[in-house]
Amino acid sequence: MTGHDTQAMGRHAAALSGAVGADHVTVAGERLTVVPGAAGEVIEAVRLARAARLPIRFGGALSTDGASVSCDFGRMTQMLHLDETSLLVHVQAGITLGALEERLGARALTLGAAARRSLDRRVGAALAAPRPEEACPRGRFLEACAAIDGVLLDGTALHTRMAPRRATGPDLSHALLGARGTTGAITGAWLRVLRRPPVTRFVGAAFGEGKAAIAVACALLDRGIRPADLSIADGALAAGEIGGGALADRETVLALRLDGMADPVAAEEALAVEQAASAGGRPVSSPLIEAWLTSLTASAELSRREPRLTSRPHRRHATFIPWCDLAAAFAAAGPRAELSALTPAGGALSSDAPITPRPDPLAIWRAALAHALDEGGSLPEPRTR
Amino acid sequence: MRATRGAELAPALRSLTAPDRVSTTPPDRLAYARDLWPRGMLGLKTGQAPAHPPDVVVWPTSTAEVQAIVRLAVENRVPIVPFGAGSGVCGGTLPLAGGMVVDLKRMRRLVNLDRASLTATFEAGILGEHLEHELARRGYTLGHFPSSIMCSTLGGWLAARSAGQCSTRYGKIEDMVRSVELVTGTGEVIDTTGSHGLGADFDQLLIGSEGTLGIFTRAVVAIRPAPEARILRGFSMPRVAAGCEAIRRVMQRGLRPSVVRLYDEIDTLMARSSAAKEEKAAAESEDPEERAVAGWLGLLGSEQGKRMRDGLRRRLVGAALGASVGRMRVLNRAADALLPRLSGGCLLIVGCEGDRPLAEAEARATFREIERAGGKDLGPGPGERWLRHRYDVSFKLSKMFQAGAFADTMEVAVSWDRLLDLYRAVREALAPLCFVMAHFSHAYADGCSIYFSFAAAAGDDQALAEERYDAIWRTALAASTSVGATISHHHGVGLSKAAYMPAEHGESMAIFRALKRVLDPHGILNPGKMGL
Repeated sequence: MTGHDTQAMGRHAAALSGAVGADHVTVAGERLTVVPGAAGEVIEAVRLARAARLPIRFGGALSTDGASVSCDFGRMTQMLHLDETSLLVHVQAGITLGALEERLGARALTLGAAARRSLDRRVGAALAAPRPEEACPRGRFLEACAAIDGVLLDGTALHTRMAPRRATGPDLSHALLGARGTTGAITGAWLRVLRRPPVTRFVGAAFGEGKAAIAVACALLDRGIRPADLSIADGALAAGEIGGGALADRETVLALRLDGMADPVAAEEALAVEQAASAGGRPVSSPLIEAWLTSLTASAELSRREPRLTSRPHRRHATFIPWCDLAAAFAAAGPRAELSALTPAGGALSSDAPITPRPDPLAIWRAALAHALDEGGSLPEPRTR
Repeated sequence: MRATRGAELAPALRSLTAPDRVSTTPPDRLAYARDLWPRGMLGLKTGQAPAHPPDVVVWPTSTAEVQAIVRLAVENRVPIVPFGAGSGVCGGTLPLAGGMVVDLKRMRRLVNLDRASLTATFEAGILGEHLEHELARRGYTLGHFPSSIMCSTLGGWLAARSAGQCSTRYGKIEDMVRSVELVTGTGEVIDTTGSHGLGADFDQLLIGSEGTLGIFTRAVVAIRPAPEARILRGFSMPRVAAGCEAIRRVMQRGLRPSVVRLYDEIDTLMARSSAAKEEKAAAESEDPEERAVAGWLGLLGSEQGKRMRDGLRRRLVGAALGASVGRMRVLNRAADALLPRLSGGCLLIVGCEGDRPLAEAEARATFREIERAGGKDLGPGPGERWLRHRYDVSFKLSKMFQAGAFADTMEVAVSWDRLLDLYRAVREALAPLCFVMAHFSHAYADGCSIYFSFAAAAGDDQALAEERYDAIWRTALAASTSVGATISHHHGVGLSKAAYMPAEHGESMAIFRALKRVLDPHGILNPGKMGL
C-alpha cells in the first residue's frame, strides 16, 4: 500500500495546478495525471512526485500499480526548429511520428523507413521504449536521434549536445534512450531527417521455403544493399495480405523497397532480382509489393484519408532475432509470421501468437544507474558473475 | 590514493598472472609513463623524465586475470590505468596517481567468426593491423582504418570512440559494435551480449569511457565481406565552401562513399608538396599508375604557378618553425590572401567500394554530385596516392619536434549549418599563435568533422613552449565551442580536454558521474581523467 489517499492526491493536484494549469491536472483514484505543455512543467511534475515519494511514469513508459503520477505528453507536440541545411529537426516529445512525417513531407523531407511502422507513436515514446520493428536496413529509428532534452528523476533538466558524432565520453543520451522512463523523461529530441528520395522501386520474389527467402535477404545485405524496407511474409500471411491469386500455395514472399539516387537504385534492383532468381525465387509484381509494404506503414491519420492503406491493428507481437537464429525462429513462429526491420544485425519477428520477450541481461545495471541518478548516493552492489 | 602501494603488489600480481608478466623495472615504468600527447613530447625532447610513471606494469592474458587484478587493486585502493598501444594524443593513459598500468596487448585472439551473422569476436588487446589481417585472410573486413592502425588496439578504439578513414561508409567504432565485455572497477564483468535489439544500448554508455568506467576485454563487431572493388578519385574544388557543399550534397543524397577528404588551400599545398617528391620519378616511370600521379601534378597549373606555390610553401613551413608569435598572424594572412589567387584550389579525395556493380553505380552518382558543385575531375591518381600514404601521418610528428617545432591536431565536429563558421572561427583565432591548416573528413548527413593541424616553434625553453602550446589549445577550443562544435570527434578527452567536459555536457555530466558511482565506486580506474 502506498499510503496516498484520494485526499492527498487532491492536494498534490492542487499544488501542481499552480504550475501547469488546473485544466491539465486530473485525479482518478490514486492516479494523478498531468499534461504538461513544456519541459519546465515536466520538471514540476517530477519534483512533486519525488517530494511525495510517488512513482512517476512518462508517456510510453511501463505502468505502475497503486498511487502514481502519470505524465502525458499530449500537449507537447511542437516542431521547434527545422534545419534544412543539416537535415535536423527539433521537436517536443509529444508529437506523433505520423504528424511529424506529414509536416516534414511538406518540405520534401521524411523521417525515413525506420519510423514508418510506428506513425501513431509519440516521438518520446518511440525513443524511450523502442520496438524491434522500428528499424530498417539503414538503421534503427533510435539512431535518428542526434540529441535529447530530458529531465532526470531528481528534477535536473538536461540537453545533450547535438553533434554529428563525438568522442567526449559515453553517449549520455542513452541513459534515457530505451530506458522506458526508469531514469527520467525525454521531453524533446533532435532528429535526423532525410530528403525524399528521387527514385523508388519495389522488388518481390516468392519462394517455396522460408529459409530460401531468408538466405537471399542475408546475401543482399552482405553484398552491401541497404533497402529502405526489407520484409518477409510466410505463406499464410502472404496469401492474405499480398494477394493469394498471384501466389502459389504457401509461398514465402521476400519484399524490398529500394530508394535513393537513380544509379545506385538501379544497381541494387538488378542485384536483388539476380540474387532472388539464383535462389529459385519467382518474381512477384511490383504493385503488389508496393501495396503490401505501404499498408504496413500507414498511420491512422493517413488511413482515414486513404482507406486503401488500412493500418494493421496492433495485435501482432514482435521480437528481435539475430541472423544466426532467424531461419529457425521464423519456421517455428507459426502461421502468419513476418520478418521485418531486417538489418545487418537481425530482424523483428512477428506473428499472431504471443512471443515470450527475451530477458534483459543488463537489467541489474540499468536499475543501478536509475538508482544512482535518483539518489546520487550509496548503491546496492550489482552482481552479474 | 596511495600511489607507492602499486609496487608492493608486484608479488601478488605475479601469483595472479605469471612472473614474467609483471614488471617494476625503470625502463618499463618509463615506457608506460607517456602516450603520444604532443605536450608530453615537449618535455621528452629536452630529456626530462615523465612526471607520472606507474609503479607496476602487468600484462594479463584473460578476462579472469583482469578481474583478479582489479579486485586486488580495489582491496589495496591502488589506481589502475588500462593500456592498449599508447597511441592516444590526449594524455588519456598517463598514470597521474601512479599505481598499475594494465596492458591488454597479450589478449589478442580472434575468438570467433560467425559467418551467418557477419560478426567477429576479438579480445580487446589486438592491434588494429593484426585485426584487419585476421579478417582479410578470411575474406572480410571491419572497415575501420584509423591512421594509428599499426599502433592502436580494439580496446583503445572502444575506449576513445575511434574513427577510421572509411567512416563515411562503415561508421565509427561505436557503430560497428554488437556487444562488449568489460571488467568494472569492482571486478564485475559486464557482457552486453544478447541486449542488442531490446531497445536501450547500454554499450553506448560504456564506449568512450576511456578507462574510467571499466576495462574492455573483448568485443563482438560487425564485419563485411572484403570489398570487391575500390574506386578512388581526386577533384579540385575552387574553394573550401564549394568542397563542403559537394560533400554535404553527397551525404544527404543517401550515398555512402567510403572516403571523403577535403583539404583546405594550405593543406592542399602541403599535400602537393609531398606529391611533388614523387613527381620526378613518376614522370619517368614505366608504371602507368605512377605516370597518372605525375599527370595529376601537371594539372595543378602552369610552371610559373607551381614555382610560386612551392616558394610559398617553403616560406610557410620555414616561418612556422622559426616565426615569432608576432609574425604568425602575418604569415597566416599571407597564406589566406595568396593561395586562392594562385588558383590551386582545394583537393577533394573521394572513394567508393564494395560489390563491383554497386560501387560503380555509387561512384557515378557521387562524382556527378561533386561536379555539379564545381568539382574538376583529376582522375584516380590523387586518391591512389592518398591510399598509399594514408598511415604516414602518425610517423611525421617526430620530425617536427626534431626540427625545433611542435605540432598537434584538433578534430572537432558540428552540423552543416555551422561548419564554415567553425572553420573560420578556429583559423581566425589561431592565426596569431601558430601556423594552421585543416582538412574535412568523417562526413555525415547532418554534419562533418574538421581536422585542424597546427605547428609553432618550440624554442629551447620547455616552460615557454608548454605555455604556448596550452594557449593554442585554449584558444582553439574556445573558438570551436563558441560556434557550438563538440570538443572532440574521435581523439577523445583524456587529460588534455578534461577541463572542458562540464561545458561540453552541462547538466548531463550528472549521468556520467552516476555511471562512475555505479561502475567504479572506489574511483580506482584511470583517476584524473575526463573531468570526473
